[in-house]
Amino acid sequence: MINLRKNWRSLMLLAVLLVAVSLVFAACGEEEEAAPEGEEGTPKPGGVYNYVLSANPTAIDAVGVQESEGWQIAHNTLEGLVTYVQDESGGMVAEPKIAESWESNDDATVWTFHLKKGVMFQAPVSREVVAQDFVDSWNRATDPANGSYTSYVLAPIKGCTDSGYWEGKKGLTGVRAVDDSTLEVTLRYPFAEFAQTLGHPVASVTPVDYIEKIGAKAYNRKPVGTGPFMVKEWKNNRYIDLVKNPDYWDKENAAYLDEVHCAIITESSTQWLEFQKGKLDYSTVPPGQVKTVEGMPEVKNGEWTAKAWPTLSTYFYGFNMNNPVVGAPAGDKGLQIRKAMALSADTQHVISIVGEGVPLPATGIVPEGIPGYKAGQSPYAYDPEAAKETVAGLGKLPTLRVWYNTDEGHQKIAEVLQAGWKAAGLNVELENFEWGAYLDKLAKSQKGDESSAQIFRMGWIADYPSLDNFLYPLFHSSQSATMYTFYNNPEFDDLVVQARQTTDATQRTNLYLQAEKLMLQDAPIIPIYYYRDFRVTNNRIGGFVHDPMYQTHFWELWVKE
Amino acid sequence: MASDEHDRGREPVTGLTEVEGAAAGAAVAAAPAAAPKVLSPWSDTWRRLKKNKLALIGLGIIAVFIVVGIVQVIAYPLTDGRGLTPYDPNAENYSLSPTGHGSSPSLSHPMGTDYLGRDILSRALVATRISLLVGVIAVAIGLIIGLILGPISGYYGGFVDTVIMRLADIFFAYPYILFVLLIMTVLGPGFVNVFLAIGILGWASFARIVRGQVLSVKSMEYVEAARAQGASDLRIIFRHVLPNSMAPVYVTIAMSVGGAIVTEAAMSFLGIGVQPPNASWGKMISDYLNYLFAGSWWMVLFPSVLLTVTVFGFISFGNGLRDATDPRLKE
Amino acid sequence: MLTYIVRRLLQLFIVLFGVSIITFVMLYVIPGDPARMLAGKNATEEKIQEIRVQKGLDKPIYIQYGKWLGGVLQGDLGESYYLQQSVGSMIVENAPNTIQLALAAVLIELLGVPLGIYSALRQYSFWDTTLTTAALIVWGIPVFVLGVFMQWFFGLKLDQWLGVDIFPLTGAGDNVLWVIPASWESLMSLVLPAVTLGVIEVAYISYMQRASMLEVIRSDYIRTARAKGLSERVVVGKHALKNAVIPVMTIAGIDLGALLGGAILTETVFARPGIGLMIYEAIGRRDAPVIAGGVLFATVVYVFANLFVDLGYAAVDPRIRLEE
Repeated sequence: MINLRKNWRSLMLLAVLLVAVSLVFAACGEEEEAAPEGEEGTPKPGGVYNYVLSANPTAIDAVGVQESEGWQIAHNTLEGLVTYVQDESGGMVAEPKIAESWESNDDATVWTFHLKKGVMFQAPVSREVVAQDFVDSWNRATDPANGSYTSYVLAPIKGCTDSGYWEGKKGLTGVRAVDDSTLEVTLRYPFAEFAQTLGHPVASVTPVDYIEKIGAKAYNRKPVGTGPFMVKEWKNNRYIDLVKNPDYWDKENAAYLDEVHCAIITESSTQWLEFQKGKLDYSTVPPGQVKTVEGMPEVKNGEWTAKAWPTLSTYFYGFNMNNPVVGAPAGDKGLQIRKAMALSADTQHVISIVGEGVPLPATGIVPEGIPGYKAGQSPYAYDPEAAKETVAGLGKLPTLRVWYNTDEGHQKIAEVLQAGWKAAGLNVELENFEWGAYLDKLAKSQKGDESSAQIFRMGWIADYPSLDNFLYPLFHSSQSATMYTFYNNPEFDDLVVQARQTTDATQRTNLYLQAEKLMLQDAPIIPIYYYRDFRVTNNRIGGFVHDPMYQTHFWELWVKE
Repeated sequence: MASDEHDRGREPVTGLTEVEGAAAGAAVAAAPAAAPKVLSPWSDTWRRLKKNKLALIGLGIIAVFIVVGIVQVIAYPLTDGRGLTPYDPNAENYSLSPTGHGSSPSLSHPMGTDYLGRDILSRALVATRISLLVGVIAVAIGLIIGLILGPISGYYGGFVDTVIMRLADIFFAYPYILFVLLIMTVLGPGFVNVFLAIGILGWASFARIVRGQVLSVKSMEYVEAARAQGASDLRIIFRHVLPNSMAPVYVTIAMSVGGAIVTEAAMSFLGIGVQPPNASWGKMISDYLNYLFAGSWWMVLFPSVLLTVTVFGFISFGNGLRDATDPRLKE
Repeated sequence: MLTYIVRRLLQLFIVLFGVSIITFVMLYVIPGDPARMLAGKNATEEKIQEIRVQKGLDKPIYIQYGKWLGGVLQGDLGESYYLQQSVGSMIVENAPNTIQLALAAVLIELLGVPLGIYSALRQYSFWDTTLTTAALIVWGIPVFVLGVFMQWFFGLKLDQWLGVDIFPLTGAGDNVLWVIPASWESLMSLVLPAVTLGVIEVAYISYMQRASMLEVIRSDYIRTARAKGLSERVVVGKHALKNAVIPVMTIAGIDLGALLGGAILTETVFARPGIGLMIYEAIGRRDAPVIAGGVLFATVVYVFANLFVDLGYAAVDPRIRLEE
């Protein structure tokens, strides 16, 4: 045994030495790592990129796009007034694309967009985009006959319902082409972040005359837009091939690659094997194998890059606020239960054991990367001791029901959380339902009867990078039924509606953050983590970015050798 | 060949559902033509079975499986769900899984621990309970329905027979795993529903086999004699006909139990099997499968071996039993 | 013969009718509202109701069924709720992969035939016991464990060691004439899934073959042949073999039919877009027209495979009469 006191000096010396040595090594290491990561040479044209999609998209045209796989294709083939790009801090912001600039009136109800000149549709349409094309495209997207499931993005426009469909037969009365390059949009209510929402694929411009000519069915298989890539072929469940648009209007952002081959492989383990065989340049990694991948020689020597990419999405557990045990009817006791559960939600172990360190701990509902994001909004950070005290003050509690939808990952997270809750003295039982049944059960919980949902898992992925998207559609009393918390706080409602009317960005952000804080105090949800996507990429390709909206800009990629 | 020849081709169909790990009623080429000499006494069967080493090994495996299973079934309610195990099968211990990859087999944890640091041996032991219950209850459901409808169909013939057999046809023709999937989606995941889903499908093969047997013995002298003495139909069926038709049924039971265990594993893989905290071997395998290539081989290996060995036991015993009871294979 | 076929066809239609009714009843009682799932996130109740009306989900079950049946009788299986595609075209697209897989798997299964014959002739010998044990053990391995292992070992490791790409891991290649693999790669992509699916069944086929062989070599006519002094080679090779193999072939034939609806696990593991996978995904999405159409297709293939097998059986084996 070493006598610590006596050896204090030598230990100190050793420590200093160690630090010095490790600094030297770290410096060397950095140099070693920096070499392969730096973009050697300049981008050059040509080559094929092998991407992979984790599902066969339900659709790839503007009206039908739903999940991130379809979005990925649409993002590279279609364009709208704005597009989302990453700023220096890594957050997402809306930037003009087809729009040159825009302005709104004082209460953010009338918006005027000035369009760029020379924006061309891809072949075979090959004509210039005019303001009327947006009027037609948006009318097509909100036409109930086309049954879009994402047209709610356009719901603020006059003539549209909350569902995102035309109110009557007249279509969108609020959109008007003033001239070929000026678009005027009138909203049903003030919405200061309206322009930010328009990077969603459903708001893209499409050649409606052409669609009518060839028929929607044929168009949906091979959409034509204005983007840097064109759809060559879509073979269901096998692949989607994209080719470079040779006549792309935005020369600065024209593609380097000749072709992008997007294989469709649902199983992550299979993607990963294909990647190792060199058949893919990009892959997800099966759960449980993150550490293994990080330790692989190809990753160490810079042949591949393995990285966790932040995203704009939050994993959380919601409470049914109509439930008599945990919800508003239970008054303060309900709040205390929710608080205790939030305090004892062992998110650290969720992240380290189940997530292998990939996700980031969530401290609020709004994830990092949203403009205006603020950390530490939730007052109930993990504190098992405080949770125990809270539980002790509550007397005997019934066993609480925790629901999740059937999935291996959700199950593991629920198991870890259950252990934390149990340690705090809360007995919970886990129940899971397959997605369709799950949504049904949650929707039926609105009545708040004895058997209604109590605690359930949910996630939210940003439709557009804005604070509003994480607050209004989730927690405003008119919307909270769609996320099944049935949260209802008039004070919160006022703050969010006020924010929506505020054109000053700083003031608006403050109002939103205030609302978020207020909501988290009521604890209708327990934020668990912000997703990060762990991806392996082959460094044969330069310029790779997986942005927080899950998108890769194929036009920025190039083949190195 | 006395009875429906065309059924002969179809009978084994039950077995081929195993293709996808299914098999409620398993592989039995029915012996509808069984002669009355079938009634080999058990001692004769045993004498013939003894010669078949594989069947004996199978029997041994089944015996161990049943004993362990029964112990766990009894211990489960007494220990508040813990079972008779060295560790609490559901208690996580993060120190035994510092990176979420479990820890490899050691003296204190001979099968290692899983991602939550739970003892795999303990989990595998309690899982025996589920596998046993799935095997026994699911097969029993099918068997009972089959043993009621089969004899009725065979004995009465005519319209009743047609209705029951067409119903059986429908159940045979329905793609097996899809049926299980649909039923489970209707009922929701969970332990009891697994029995029901597997059981509901099992009846058709039992009914067919018994029907074939009944057809072949119903015109035998002793049945005629009983009828002449004024015995009721029910009495004839259940006292005279059934007991003499059971050999192929026993074979099917053995095979079906093996099939049910495999089916449960397939259901777990598709996420519709038993639910936590309950563990079954299939559930363990599918939960742990991804860790296999992360180096945590022990998580998948042990439950897989247990499952495979148990299924092997039932199938090889079933095969042996059939060899020993089928008159056509007599030397 | 003709009356037999007509009677069988009638039975067939009863079976198909029954299967479709069962499917519809299950789809009706299944929890989960397709409209709610279609509507996605942010959906208001009004929107969900609109979708219900649009898809005809607000109608009573018998009307929905009647409409579907009417369509089927005219050769229209309806339209997928999710994919902007008709169910018929989805089946045409997915069926070749499944048909190839089923055919190849059955070919592999037939390895059980020589094994079974050997087992019957050398009952309880060392090799009989060893091979049978091996086959039985493989039988007990869950197909998804075997599949994942095959992918890893033959799909990745073998390639890495040998430095050449032999077996593609996933998917399916292009076909010519609907079902014929158009390229070497397309053909090779079949190997791993087919082996996974087929090898598990070897024990079953081998067992059936053994039983059939034992039965035949103990039958009177073989005894007679032996008594006539024919050599063992001639007896076994010429007489016994033919009669013993036929019943097993019929089993393989029916297997082929059954595999068309049941290869979900293999298709999932190998990301091979086929009928099983199509229906499985549709169940998760409550895409009723795809489920109903897919199940119907799988059942039709199965029952017709049965019919052809029975007819073929009668044609090659004169001992069989088709009438009761």
